[in-house]
Amino acid sequence: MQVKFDNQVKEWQKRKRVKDILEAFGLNREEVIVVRDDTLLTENDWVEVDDKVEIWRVVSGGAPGD
Amino acid sequence: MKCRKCGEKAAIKLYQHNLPLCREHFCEFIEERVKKAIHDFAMFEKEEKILVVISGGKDSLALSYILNKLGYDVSLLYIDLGIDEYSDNSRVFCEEFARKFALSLKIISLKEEWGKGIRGFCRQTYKSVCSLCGMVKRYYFNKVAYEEEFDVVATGHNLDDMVSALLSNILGWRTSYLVKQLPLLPEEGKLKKKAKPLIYLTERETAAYAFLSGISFLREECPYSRDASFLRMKHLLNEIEMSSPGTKFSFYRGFLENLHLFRKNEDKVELKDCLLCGFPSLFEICSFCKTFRKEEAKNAGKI
Ligand code: SF4
Ligand SMILES: [Zn+2]
Ligand SMILES: [Zn+2]
Repeated sequence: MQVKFDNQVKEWQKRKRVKDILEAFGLNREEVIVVRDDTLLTENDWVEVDDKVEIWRVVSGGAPGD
Repeated sequence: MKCRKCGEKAAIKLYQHNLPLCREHFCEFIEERVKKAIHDFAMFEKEEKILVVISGGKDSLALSYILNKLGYDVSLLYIDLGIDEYSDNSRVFCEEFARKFALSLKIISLKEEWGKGIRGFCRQTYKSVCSLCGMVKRYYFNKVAYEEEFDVVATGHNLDDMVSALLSNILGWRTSYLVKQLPLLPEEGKLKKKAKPLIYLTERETAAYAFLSGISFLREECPYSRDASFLRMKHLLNEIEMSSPGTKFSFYRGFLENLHLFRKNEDKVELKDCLLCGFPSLFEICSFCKTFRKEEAKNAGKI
């Protein structure tokens, strides 16, 4: 499986839970969404060996009119 | 994990509500939260003209999409600050969004209006990009709203934006600033009312909503946001939220309930009309004109 986050890519040869993947990247679940194709994954979902997954950071520093 | 409402596979779990939801029920839930915010704070009505300030990011585009879906009269405003590639990319996302949903979009470009981007004015005024950015955006959205007879300006500020600003102001005991973190600021002379309909939603929720609704949004951050101090506040609050879900919301609700404690510290200032542009200002010449019409301001003997 391949997991992309910002400029980092991590690969695992075994299926893994999203929760453990976030932990491996040191991420807070409140600050990301986990995307596989056109769906989102919850922390309990499994990522399979053939999957490609992307983690999107959702915390932003600026807002319109801030 | 199954959707609490229909038993289908959940697309997301909302920890604050201990609620797993599928795509359909999540989107429905988010739209209900926006409706509730509009209703709770009497933000606006269906017949009012709403100007939504957009940046191409998840929050402002999700807000525009939801208001349009709920049947509000929405127009969009994008202010192009000329921050290199970042502004070019933001503009593309705004234009694509407006085209896709057939919404009217007005673009104001600093380079087109004043011959240079925001950084050019920073050098000239010795101010930081972020402090000029906020001032410029406020100036233009107030001006457009007034001149084009909008009833309200809506921005995509979410719960995380509100609580991080709140925490930062409380840590510095800048109590007179706290009232700016209200969901609705009333109309005052030429300044139209300002509404923040996403205040009940976290950033994760607006991002998930935009993604699941098929909205393409800019994920790249403004290059200056890395230094924005309130990002640190957001991380701190999310650490707490992770161990005590619901903390951000109860912090904000507590602020609204205890507003009377801070109201007495509110600075009551008399605004005058700027001598050069006629817009409300604390001084004879407003900050915008001092920066962008420096020569005229000098000739008027005001700087
Ligand atoms: S981080 Fe970027 S968008 Fe936010 S205030 Fe600073 S310059 Fe403006
Ligand atoms: Zn469902
Ligand atoms: Zn002025």
